[in-house]
Amino acid sequence: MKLIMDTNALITGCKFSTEGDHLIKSIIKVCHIIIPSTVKGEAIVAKDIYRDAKVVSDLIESGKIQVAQSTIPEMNFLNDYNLGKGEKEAICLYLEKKDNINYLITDDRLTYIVCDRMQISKLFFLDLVIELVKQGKFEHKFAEKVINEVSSRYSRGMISHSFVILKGVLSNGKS
Amino acid sequence: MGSLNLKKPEAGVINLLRVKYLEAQNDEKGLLELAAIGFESRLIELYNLFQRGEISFEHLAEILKINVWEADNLLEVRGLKSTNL
Repeated sequence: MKLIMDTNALITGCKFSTEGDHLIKSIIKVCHIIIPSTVKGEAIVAKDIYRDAKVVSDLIESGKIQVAQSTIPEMNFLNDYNLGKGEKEAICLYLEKKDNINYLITDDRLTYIVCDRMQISKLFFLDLVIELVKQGKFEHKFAEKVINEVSSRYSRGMISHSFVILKGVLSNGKS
Repeated sequence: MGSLNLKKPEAGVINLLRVKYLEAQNDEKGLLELAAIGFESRLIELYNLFQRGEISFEHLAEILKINVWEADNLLEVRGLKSTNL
């Protein structure tokens, strides 16, 4: 599965670990991740201060996360939304590569809404975890641990709903 | 950049601070404290907009002229979430 990740989802993946590995590393084992060049720039600047930025920076250096350049067209309506440069680049990158990308992963509500209006295939980080269970790439129990691990970043509704969806996946016999 | 109705300081306040800044070259700590109070106030204002989904996380960081990792850390040490989900 090929994914474009924006910063907020990337931070979730780098901040938490399950079974001894940062979540982002567990995802990389089963997915190809692409990030916009702005996100790379910020991670490299911050890598000496913040451990999660160092995780991203190391994965970029070792070629496990791909970095791609994208141009935000002048006068594009995206500039009228209150999005950051990296989020707009992630959206433009998806549009440039859409035939070859499965999902844009974001943990930002406004970015998600803009993606929805643009009919971009997008997932929250929690839904990516569930999707990986559906595809048989993550074990159900592992996904439960991941959702528990990251729960401090989300509202109670997002977490309890994720467990309900995950339970549905299990009862449908897909994992 | 999208339009935001963020509180803007009065021109008179900026001019007054400019004068005070020049006068207080030997009082860096005092000036920093003043700037920090302004920064904190803007951080909370932007955080509320972010939580309502009116601005994105990266946009919050850009307005504060910090990077996303710094923004994430600033929110975390205050016990605030850096997602709005």
